[in-house]
Amino acid sequence: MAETRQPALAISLARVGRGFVALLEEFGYYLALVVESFFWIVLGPSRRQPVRLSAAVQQMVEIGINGLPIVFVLSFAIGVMLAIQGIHTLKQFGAETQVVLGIALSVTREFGPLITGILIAGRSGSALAARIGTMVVNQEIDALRVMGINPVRYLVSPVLIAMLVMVPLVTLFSDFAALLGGAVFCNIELGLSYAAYWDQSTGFMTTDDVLQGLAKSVVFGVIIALVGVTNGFAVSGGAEGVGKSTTRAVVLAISYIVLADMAFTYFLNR
Amino acid sequence: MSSGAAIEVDELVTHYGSRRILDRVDLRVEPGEIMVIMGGSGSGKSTLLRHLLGLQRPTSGSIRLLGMDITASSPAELQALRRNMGVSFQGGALLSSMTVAENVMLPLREHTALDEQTMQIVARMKLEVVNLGGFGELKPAQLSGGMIKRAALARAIVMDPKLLFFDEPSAGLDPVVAADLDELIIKLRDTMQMTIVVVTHELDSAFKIADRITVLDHGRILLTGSVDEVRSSRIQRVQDLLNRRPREEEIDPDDYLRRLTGG
Repeated sequence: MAETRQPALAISLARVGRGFVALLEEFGYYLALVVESFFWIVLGPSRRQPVRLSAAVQQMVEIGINGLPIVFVLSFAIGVMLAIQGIHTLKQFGAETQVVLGIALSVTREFGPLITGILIAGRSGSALAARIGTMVVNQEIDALRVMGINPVRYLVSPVLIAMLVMVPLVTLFSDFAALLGGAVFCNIELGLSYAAYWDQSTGFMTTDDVLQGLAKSVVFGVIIALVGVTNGFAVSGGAEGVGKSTTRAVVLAISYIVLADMAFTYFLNR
Repeated sequence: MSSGAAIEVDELVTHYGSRRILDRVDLRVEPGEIMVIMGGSGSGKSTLLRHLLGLQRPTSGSIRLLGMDITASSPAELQALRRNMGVSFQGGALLSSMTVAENVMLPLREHTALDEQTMQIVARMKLEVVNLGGFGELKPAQLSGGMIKRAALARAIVMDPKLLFFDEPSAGLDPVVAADLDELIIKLRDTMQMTIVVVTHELDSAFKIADRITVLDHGRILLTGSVDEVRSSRIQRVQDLLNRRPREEEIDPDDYLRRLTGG
């Protein structure tokens, strides 16, 4: 009752404050989760509670290999799209052939990691949240704990390993697919041979361009794992809760990926 | 303090938010005993179980399992203790991504250095104990409710624990299957000398298996005693529970009005 008498400003300020605290709390949780996951990866074996390699491999197949077809199709399409836009823009300056440079740099520095991050967030981030959320609802997490099996070691560490390995690898694959898309379109539209396209691309690109993209993708992988897992563990309220958390995991992961991408790009190009 | 009891709960107080769930609960379970914790919905019995399992931290009080205070123990000590505990959850809580046999083998795989074949044999033995021989290769989703509970029991006893906990063993089962499970609980105590704690609101099952019964109501212990003592108790709430009488609570008019007006 007392609250309703407060002025609107105080109430909205309090709401902002609470939201900020909740956000801080969530980031603190992410940090603790990363630390604990690495703790088990590094020190698990000496405590006779190792992180199972087989679980990590299974996750790698799930996250990486099973996603390759869709990554190929979308990355290829992005490559074609970049070629179309690039040729259209550069035509005004009569510099169509420069399009190869544009494609090579945008793909390796930006679009490869970004499209991979978004796709894996959509495919695996949601699956992760749903899987862990369902386990929470079914008391499977409780069961693990009472069996003396740490849920972070058993469920989170393998996912983190898999993300750290697979997201960069899939990003490389995406780079190639997008470059191929660009090459095919340039070949049709400009009559540029594949060999010439490849020579020009590799001539322009430096290792730094590719590494910048891969460094981003590592960060994206960690984001997807943490956001997916955290939202899974936070599930309450049965099946509906699982649905909500899954949606939240995807939206948050993609948002964080885009924001992190922006920050990354800014600092790496200073 | 540690006078040989398998489980010793002392002055346990717990809160959920600001609401007090358990109010100075004392409980003592002797080795080899089947203790049934009974109470209606919202009595706090599930909360008590979660604390006994070390899944939640109490506000105050102590919980000793096999002589170790789990409210003050290190993660490593708790980890060691948990090898001596088995739990059968209400819904089974089998990992749905694994087969029944893999579920049963999981504690062995994580806590022992046994080779694959030995683990498989142990798992099959435990599945035979719960009458699920030959069902090891099925996924939990392919089992019936009663089979899931029995599979969960097989997983709970795979490490030959000293303490065994059941959360609502007969909930959701037909009377025959529930009776089977009761028999199984008694058999386990008799053959393996386990100390067993069963949380339930099923009267028939409670009276059949219990050595002693603790009746919980509104977070307080009303009574702890043998089956006969509970049956003949003169406490009104206990009799209400036994005779399925709806509770007649006195309504405080002021309180009632305040709730209605949302104040």
